[in-house]
Amino acid sequence: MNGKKRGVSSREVILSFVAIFCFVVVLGFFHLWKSAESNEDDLCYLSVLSRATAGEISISAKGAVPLKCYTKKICLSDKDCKSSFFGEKNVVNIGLPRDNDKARGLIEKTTADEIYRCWKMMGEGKLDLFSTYAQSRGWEQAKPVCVICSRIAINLTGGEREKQILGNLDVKNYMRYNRVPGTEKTYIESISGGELKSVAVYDDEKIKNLVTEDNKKIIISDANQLAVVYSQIHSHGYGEVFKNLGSDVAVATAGIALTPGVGGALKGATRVIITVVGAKVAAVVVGVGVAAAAGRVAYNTYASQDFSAAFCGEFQGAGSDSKKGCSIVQLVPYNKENIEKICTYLDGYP
Amino acid sequence: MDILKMKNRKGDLREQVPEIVLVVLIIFTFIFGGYKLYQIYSASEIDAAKNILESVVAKINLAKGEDIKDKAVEIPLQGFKGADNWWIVGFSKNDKIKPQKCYRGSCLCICKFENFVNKEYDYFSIIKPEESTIYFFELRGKAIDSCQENGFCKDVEFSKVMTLSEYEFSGTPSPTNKPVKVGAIRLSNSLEYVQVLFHDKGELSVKFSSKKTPDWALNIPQFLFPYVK
Repeated sequence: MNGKKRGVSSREVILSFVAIFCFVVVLGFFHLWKSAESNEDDLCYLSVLSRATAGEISISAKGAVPLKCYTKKICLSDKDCKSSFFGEKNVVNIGLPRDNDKARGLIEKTTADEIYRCWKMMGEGKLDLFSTYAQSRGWEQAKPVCVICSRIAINLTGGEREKQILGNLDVKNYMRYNRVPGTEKTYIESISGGELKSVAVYDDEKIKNLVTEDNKKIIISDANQLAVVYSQIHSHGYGEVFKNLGSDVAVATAGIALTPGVGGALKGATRVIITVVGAKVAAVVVGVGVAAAAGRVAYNTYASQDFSAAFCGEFQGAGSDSKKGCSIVQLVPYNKENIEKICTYLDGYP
Repeated sequence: MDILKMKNRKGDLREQVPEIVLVVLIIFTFIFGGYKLYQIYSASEIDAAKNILESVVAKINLAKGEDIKDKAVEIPLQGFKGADNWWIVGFSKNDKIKPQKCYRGSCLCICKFENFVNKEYDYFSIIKPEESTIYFFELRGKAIDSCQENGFCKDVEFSKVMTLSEYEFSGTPSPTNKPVKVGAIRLSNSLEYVQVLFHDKGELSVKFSSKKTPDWALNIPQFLFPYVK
């Protein structure tokens, strides 16, 4: 009589709501993962965010998070891009119009879109993706690391058509005067925040010379391929490096002090060393060691900044501090010589 | 009394149902999320290596069908993080020791040689260490086992397949002071090329050349050179 007719308690109602909410969250996650799996851009961006977040927590954790960014292969051709992409997966084929101007326009638009996509996908230069623990402590020099976002193969039939189209290709100009679809800003404004000089687009001459490469002797090669490359170098300032080292020493000291046995043994050892002669020797040894280490750290920091300034300087405006590093999207011919110039090593997947 | 107790227990269980559902859902979310994260972050390197092998074999087959007289066949190999754990190895039809995956004929494999640095002599042995010749690193049993366990192979229609890396001596003092040749091609995390050569009688060689002696070959221990004067 007393308990049988009671309705549903408020606790049960709340729990049911929480259960339904959890179920919806699970479904949402499932949908998100599914869409990320099917969309490589989302997956790449997710991994970029994961790595940057891991780096915020601990710089050493950053290296453990792989960038799941695959090089997109685009074939812009009259026929096919067999010699460039044969046997490779997920190639996007785009047929070129017969009209040379229209074909040139399509190549420029596709390339500009790829540069913009790369910039957005890699975190718009706002995220530190590649610096290592050793670099943050000045033990290692900063080096530019790259992700090849896209490879664009251009295959045109006929020498005159090649000359007409590739010879007049001007992606920089296209990016300057055309808006990113769905936005009010031009490509250059969107990427560089309005500062035209802050983002390198490409070396016009090299691209135009693509057509002059002797590709007749090579049947499978990288000829007539452009690469959209995201490169980043981040050099840490002296203050930052020594602060990081200081925090390491603090952590290590705390660790030693807290480790039973080790702290005690060290204290014992210190007592043994500190005699009149021993103190001098120890001071000299420690002093030389610290000075050498600090010198090495300072040298690496200087070298990193110097390298960074040399690497970034030509791409950045006069007002910017190129010593700190930079993030750049570049369009370069896809070959060893050009990639080696801007990348110490590659991240992401081919 | 017992029936009353059982009824009470059933009532208790009914009250616990939402909590049980909730706990199951939370566990499911964790397992699902963990599995997806594992999937995302583990498969990439393996997929990349597999794709490289498939692309190389497809390009070799494409070149084989073309008129290749006086033409060089160069295949770019775009590296990735962790690529230097992976090696391209060729096995011929009549090779006595080769992975089971490759039992049918000749094949090209991409194999992961884990912990290669400092354990390189587990994977290779040096043959013909005479003063007049180059030093050749031949694959050892462990390398073949690695191909079987951590590798992928693709059949190729050639009677003989050879993979070769040629490193010029780069001037750094070493026990060899000579060029080094290795019977496999190591991937790197940059952009490199391999050259494909088609010989008579259906023989294929895939070659990688570098002007720099690899670091691991610079520190060859003396005991591995019993014939060096």
